[in-house]
Amino acid sequence: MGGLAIAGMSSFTIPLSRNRRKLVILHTNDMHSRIEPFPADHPKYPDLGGMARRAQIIKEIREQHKDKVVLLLDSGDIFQGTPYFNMYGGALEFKLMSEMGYDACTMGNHDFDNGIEGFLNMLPHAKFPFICSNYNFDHTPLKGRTKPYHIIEKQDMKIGIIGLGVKLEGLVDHKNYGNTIYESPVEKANQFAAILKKQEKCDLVICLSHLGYSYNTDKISDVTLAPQTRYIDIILGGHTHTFLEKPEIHQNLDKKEVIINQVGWAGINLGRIDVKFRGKRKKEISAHAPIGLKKNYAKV
Amino acid sequence: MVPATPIDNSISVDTDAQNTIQPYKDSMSTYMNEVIGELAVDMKRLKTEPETILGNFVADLSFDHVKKLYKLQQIDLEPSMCILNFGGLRTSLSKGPVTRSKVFELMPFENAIVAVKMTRSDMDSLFHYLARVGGQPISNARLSVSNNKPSSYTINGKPLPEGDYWVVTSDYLANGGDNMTFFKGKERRSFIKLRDAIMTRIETSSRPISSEIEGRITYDN
Repeated sequence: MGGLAIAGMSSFTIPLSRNRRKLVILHTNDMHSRIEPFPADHPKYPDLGGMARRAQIIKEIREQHKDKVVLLLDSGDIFQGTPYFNMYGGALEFKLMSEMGYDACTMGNHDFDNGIEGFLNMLPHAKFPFICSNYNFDHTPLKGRTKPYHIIEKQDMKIGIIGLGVKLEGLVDHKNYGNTIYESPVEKANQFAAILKKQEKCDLVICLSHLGYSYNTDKISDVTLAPQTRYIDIILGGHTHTFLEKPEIHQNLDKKEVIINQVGWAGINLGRIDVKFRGKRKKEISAHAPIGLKKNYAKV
Repeated sequence: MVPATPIDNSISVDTDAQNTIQPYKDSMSTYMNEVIGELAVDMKRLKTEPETILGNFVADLSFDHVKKLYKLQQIDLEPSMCILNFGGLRTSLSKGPVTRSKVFELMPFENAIVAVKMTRSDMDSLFHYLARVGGQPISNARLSVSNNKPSSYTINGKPLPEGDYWVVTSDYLANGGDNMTFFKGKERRSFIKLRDAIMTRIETSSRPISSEIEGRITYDN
């Protein structure tokens, strides 16, 4: 562990090559229908968050980094938590995310809260794909509407994305997930990450995870997933609403570095990880403290 | 912990996003401010009494929700009683008109009504818990306490024979919340959200809703 600075940027590998391609990864998790900021008198998060503020900061970052590819990703639980969801079923969440230019998301357990049908009905509002590698929807109306893996090709960069969901039984009312089959996250992660890295020759593989950061039990989490996998470079997590101070470095099966990050919930923070590619194989990953849309932002 | 640099009011608002939000916000505020019913009495949020009008109101409507499904033969379990917690009722309701937003304030959580299958000895633990903590909202049951222990308790006015009991509660409490450890690991069935049940109770009442203190839980010391 170590090597990542608490704030600002700090590199932990400095390979040499001329061919520089740069990527800025922005990410959220567990936004829970928090369209507007928390109320000013909220005991824990007064006046924090808000999707219109997030839209603004993302716009500014895109403007500042025109020479780079900016990716915007989410790790699930977009739904549930404010009356906006109860009233509109997630339409406004998806619309705003589409306008912000989200590139891909995975599904969290609360995204099943209005049932498979409820989620399906909202999909036309989402102009971005849902990546679900270990939910098998073949026997549900969602069949063919999510992807087991996804490739984003921009400016000579090929980014592979997989998405892992949490076990639904006991967590989500059975009638809401119906015939969805939960498959082994480790197995599916390795299967699709191998396709992305070896067959598709992706420069980077990102795992959007709603497994949770870590548990006291032997339940699978981002921290226990990483050492059981190959070919995943970055795990962007969710579910446990963990406010990591900064992205962490873990190791995979081959003792290669895997970055894990999670940025709390409710859109209070925006995560950021930068990647510079030097040549075909070398990359330099820089971690940022969660982007506050205040102090750290100035250092971006 | 929350990092020191969150998305706060130093960030300006993106006008495009705000324009997308505004019509939803406006029509939601109309909906939320709509009066859905009327209360005949004040229902205060108190945590110092063994029994409250507010607690009785919510415990009764939760119990009635499951009981009604049983009577309509939509479920095969007959609920015995209901127990909730004072901490989960987040605001007082005033006599007079009630808006939807007031119900969201009362019950901001997404908790569901559940029924948990209990043995006779689990029920004993439940009533001992009630006596020890100074009461919680209950329905269809009575408890007398002396020296912080149950001196007698009944369900629907009768003592409890051996057998199984289905107790109505929230999923939060069924998971052991508020130290209700007697619920943990038990078979359970899940019903609608507690907030939806409260809404329906208020919306469907043809006259102002009343509730009262009935001596459901009494202390003789």
